[in-house]
Amino acid sequence: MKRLALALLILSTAAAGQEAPPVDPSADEFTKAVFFGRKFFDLKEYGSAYDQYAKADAVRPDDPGVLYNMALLLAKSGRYSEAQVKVDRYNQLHPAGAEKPLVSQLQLELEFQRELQKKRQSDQDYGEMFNRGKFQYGRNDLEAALKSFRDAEQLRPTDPAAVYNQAVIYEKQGDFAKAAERFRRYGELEPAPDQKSRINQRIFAIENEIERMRTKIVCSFCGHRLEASATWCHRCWHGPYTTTSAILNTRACASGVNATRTTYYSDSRLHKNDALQCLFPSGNVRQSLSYTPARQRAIRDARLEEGWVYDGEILQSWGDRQGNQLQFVQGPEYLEKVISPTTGESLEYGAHKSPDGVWLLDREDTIIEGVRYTSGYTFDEKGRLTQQAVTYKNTAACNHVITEQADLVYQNDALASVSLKGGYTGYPAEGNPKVDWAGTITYAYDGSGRVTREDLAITSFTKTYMQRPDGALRNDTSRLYLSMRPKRPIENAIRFGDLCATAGTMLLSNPIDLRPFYTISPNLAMTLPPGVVRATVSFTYPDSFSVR
Amino acid sequence: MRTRSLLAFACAAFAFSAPAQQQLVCPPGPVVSGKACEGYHYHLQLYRPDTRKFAGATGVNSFASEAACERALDTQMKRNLAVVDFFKRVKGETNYEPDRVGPCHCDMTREKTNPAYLADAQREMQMRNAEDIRLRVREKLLDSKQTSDSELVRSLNTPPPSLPAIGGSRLVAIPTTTTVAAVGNSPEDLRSTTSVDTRPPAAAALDLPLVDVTGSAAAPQTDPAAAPSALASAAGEQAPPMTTERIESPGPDIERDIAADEGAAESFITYETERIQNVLRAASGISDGTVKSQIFEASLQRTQLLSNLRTLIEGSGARSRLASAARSARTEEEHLEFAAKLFGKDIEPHWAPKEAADVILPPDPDIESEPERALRDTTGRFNDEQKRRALYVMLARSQPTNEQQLWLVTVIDSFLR
Repeated sequence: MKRLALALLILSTAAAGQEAPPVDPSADEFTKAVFFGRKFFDLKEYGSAYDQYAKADAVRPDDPGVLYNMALLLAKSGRYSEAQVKVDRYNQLHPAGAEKPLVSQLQLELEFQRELQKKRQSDQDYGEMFNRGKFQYGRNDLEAALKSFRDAEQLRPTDPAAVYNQAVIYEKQGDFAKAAERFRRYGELEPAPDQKSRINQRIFAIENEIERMRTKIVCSFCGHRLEASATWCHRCWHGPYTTTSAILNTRACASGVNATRTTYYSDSRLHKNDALQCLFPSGNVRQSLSYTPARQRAIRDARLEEGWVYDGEILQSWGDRQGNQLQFVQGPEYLEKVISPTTGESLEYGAHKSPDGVWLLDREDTIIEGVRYTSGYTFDEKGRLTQQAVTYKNTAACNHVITEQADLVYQNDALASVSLKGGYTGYPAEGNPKVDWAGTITYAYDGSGRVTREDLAITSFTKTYMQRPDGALRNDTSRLYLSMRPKRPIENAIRFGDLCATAGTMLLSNPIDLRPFYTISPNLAMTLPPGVVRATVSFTYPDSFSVR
Repeated sequence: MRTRSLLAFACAAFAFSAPAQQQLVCPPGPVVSGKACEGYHYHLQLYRPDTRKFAGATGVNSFASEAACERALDTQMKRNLAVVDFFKRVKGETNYEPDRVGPCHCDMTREKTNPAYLADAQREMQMRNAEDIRLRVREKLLDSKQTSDSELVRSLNTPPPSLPAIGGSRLVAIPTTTTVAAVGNSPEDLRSTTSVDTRPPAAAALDLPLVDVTGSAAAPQTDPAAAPSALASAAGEQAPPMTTERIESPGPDIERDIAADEGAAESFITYETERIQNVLRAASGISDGTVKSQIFEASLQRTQLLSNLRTLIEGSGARSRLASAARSARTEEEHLEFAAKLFGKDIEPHWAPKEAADVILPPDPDIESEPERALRDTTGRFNDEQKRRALYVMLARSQPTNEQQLWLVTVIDSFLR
């Protein structure tokens, strides 16, 4: 009986155990978190999925599947270092876990991501270097930009863009030789055939530009490219630009080059000393005028600023805010006329081409301080100026029509002397005054072909009234020359100059006007004040200065 | 201005007979018709006070424009009338006559065929005559107690206006280049480097699956056999040696597993992801940094492409041509065939590279610069092969928007037909 009761007790106990097993509430929570984590993963909500697996991990720490999933989700969220911590934890706790192959692959992914991060950092640094270079270029800090792209090339020598950008900067700086070299290197690096072809065209253009820089000069007024042997710019008739002229080179802006002009009265008294300003800022004339795109652009920009208008490289017109205008009538080969619709003025030009292809003026109108001068030029077979004849009506004084002439003499290709003469015949009412003057300019050179002295001397000056002036004009004349007698030269007229009328207390005169002879010498292109008959211009140079 | 001068002309020339008026304009010549007038002038009949006669002057003025001529004529008239007024009103010389002035018209005195033509000598003679008359008027004014600096005397010799811009030195200073240097440059002149990856990080391109986690309290034991055999190959012993560049295809185990997978995208993408993992493993043994970097770059792009392709396959629907093609690509050959249909025949050596470096695609700047444009091209500029290459570039280098995805499914559909 006792045995039966014990057996029943055991059975009942066993039965009771089967009906009410022990309940683990955390298991449900774990299962739920894992289930939700999977669902969020399917929705690509990796952050939320991770949170769910983190909950599961809190319930059952270090479950291998959960650890792997957390690592994967962290990786998918871009939290690679945290993912690596989970992977390391997995490897430490479950070195032979079932997820090991996946963990190994994830480990590989994480290593790849580290490599990728390094590469991206390197890319970012490199990209920033490029951006910095572009910014510096945009601010025209070309040296700094060049350095940035040189540094970039050091980092990635095969990146064509860094080399290309260096080339562009060198081109901008006007260093075309280096630009061409860099573009060539770019061509070697650039894999795309069409880009290579384009760059070859650019190199060709740069080489042409280098050639032009070697052989051409620019007009300092309009920037037009000219042959180095040109005297004038045939598109605006500014000049002279005779680069080999020893006389023009007396006005170079080089250290130690000085030009001083001293003028004297007829009794040898000093009139005054003038330190002549230099005209050519970059050394000798050739260096100053030699063509560079930057120089041409600077000239052009200066003219555009003043209101000039270009068609390509050729000046077309000018205008200002007051409505004043100038129109350049450009012929097929040279500037033929300049007209001012505002004032009605018109300047005409005639020219011919020399055997060596440069344009030489035959006829030129110029306006100097409101007075219009017409010059006729004559040249020898070498294209050298041999004579200039000038006519002008001196509207600034008494409206006399005055003629002047300069005859040039060369010796061994250097200008040796210039004979000058001028004069006019006045009008009957004022007594038909007849004025004649003559003078010379002589040049002295040193052993290097540089001008050391330029001497102007008025050698004769006569004024004779051919008849008595009419009525009240006689009184006017007697105020000019007390000793005037008809048909007898005025005594010491050279001391008084050519006086022609009064305007109150002021005496009007026709000074000897050498300004139209600017082509012969910029140093003596001046009007001689009454009584001044001599001018000496002396020059000094440093030993190293050469006119060529 | 013209009306005013004509009025002046009418006042000044009222006493003219018809023949005299005819002399105040140039007769028209045959050359005028059809030719623009190059200069304008006006004729003068100057009153000479000592002889009380008029002297004609047709060649003493010339203007580039009619307006300038009108202005000069107006000024001339006013000055002359002031002198006439002085003699008539102040001095009582009622018989002092004004100059006779014609209207502004085209100057024919330089046209050799015109009757009004003046040779240089004739012109000079007229000019000297006019100046002599001016001096005689001056003499008469001085004789009438006008001072030499009086307004009337000075007005006889007022120089014509001149525009400063037309004169000036013929040898001008060269501007310095500093004005140019101050101007900024356009950064567009420069090139951007293409050697940097500017795309956002492709974190989502990780194509590893989650593992099933059992809910039992006992430590879950994932059956290693349940993991794709691809993973087995990735783990240690079956992975290709890291020191070689040879790339193996993912292998028959994976093919079998993938074939069993009903998810069209999943099977294809997993297979291809494994392939690119193998490439990366092999690349780790390469010592040339530049090549290695390019392989990483190409692999990253492939990963991006696979991620995008997965999205397109899933988005195109289970019965779509794309999903069907992806599902039916089970063997290595079928995978390559599918890739070739999508991305062109040239893709094969790069899609399944024999060596790691083969994964790098040769550059094609035309397509790479604007792949979408190439894909959308209807002008015939790009052939089908180029368009397929453009599809590769687009999927490898961008994350298409929803609209682009719809369009790309259509494009791919046409490629698979």
